[in-house]
Amino acid sequence: MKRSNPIIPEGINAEPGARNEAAEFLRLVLALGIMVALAGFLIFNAGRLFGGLIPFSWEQALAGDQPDSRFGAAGDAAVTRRLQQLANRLTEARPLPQGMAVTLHYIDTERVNAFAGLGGHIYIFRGLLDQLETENAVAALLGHEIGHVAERHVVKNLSGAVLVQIAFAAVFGDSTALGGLGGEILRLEMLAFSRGMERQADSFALTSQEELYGHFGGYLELFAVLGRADEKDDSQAMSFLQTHPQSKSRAEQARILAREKGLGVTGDSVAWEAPASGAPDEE
Amino acid sequence: MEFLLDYGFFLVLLGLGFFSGRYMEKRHYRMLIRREAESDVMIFTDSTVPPGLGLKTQQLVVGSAVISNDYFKAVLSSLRKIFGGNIGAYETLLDRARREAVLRMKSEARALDAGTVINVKFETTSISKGKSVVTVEVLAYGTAVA
Repeated sequence: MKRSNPIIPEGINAEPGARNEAAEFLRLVLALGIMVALAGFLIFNAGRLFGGLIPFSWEQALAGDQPDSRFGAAGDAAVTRRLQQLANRLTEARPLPQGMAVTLHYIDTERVNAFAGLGGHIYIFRGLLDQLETENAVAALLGHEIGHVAERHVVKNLSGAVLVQIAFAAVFGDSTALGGLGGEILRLEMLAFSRGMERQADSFALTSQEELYGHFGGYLELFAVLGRADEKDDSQAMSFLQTHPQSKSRAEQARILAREKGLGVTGDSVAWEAPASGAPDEE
Repeated sequence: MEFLLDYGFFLVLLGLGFFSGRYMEKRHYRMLIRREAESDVMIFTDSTVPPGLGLKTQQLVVGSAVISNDYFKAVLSSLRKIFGGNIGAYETLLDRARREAVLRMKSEARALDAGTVINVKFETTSISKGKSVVTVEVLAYGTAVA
């Protein structure tokens, strides 16, 4: 009788199957997405909470006295002084929390942007400032950025982001694909937080406008300019992916608030003229 | 555009790994089943010669197979490692490598006119050493008797 080893049935030690693997992959990606979104939300919020507890003096020490030179060369000193004077008026009308101060930096590039950095440093770019015709609009811009400083948005966001990055590195290690996927999900969550912060800063700006000028005309002028910049830039088309809510919706929010407060959206405006270099400071 | 630049390469590798990996695996399993059915060499893990077979010669025979996972399975395994549980991707890898190694060992035995291999043992080594795409070598060895 010829002997032979028996043929072992398939599927005991391993189950090859493309459909099983594809289904398993989709299930795990979905589960990972939910886990990352939830964990990211909690960790980012925790980071923001602790970030708000960091003393402003520590933030100033971290940022230093000098502007960040990566953003570009400093612009006309006379313009910088004028901006600082306007910022001082705004903080007199609506005071910052004790111990906080803002430092204005005018950056000589064509970039249409302005933002607040750590330690109360506020950067205004020539590309945006040149498009604003009234002091009211400039005050709205500064009021918005001062709002970010007052609410400690920069240090809160930074704390949240650092904590999330540490958590991701601990979980995903050197798997760049998984880390990238998780990071993309988290970026969408952080955008939602950013938009909430933008609304807070807008509220600060509107209050400053009300104190200084008694109407919101400058604010609307600012967002008319930003709205034109939005339309030119195709990458800004999908608003839910932006850090800033679209300019049109922000202008509409201002109109609604004006109606609620019984304020006008137009009124007396002060012209904004760039001072000549070496011009004496205004009183 | 930025999304494509950031993740396009990853998605292409994933798709390539899925389709080519599935095709290669199916083809390999078909070949394994056919060759296992055709093979007339018997294997035993016991070190004693089965009664009735006789013993004229003894010779060490070895079969070695090195097989790698595809990129899709590597990503799937990484996901599974987060949540825990059975890693099916590695099971098929080891199953294929083990069966291939046995068939090659049997081929060596047949080349020596031996119809039996006793004292069969296995050694498994990971060659990839921590990389996400796993490569294993399975060594099957035993004593061919004729």
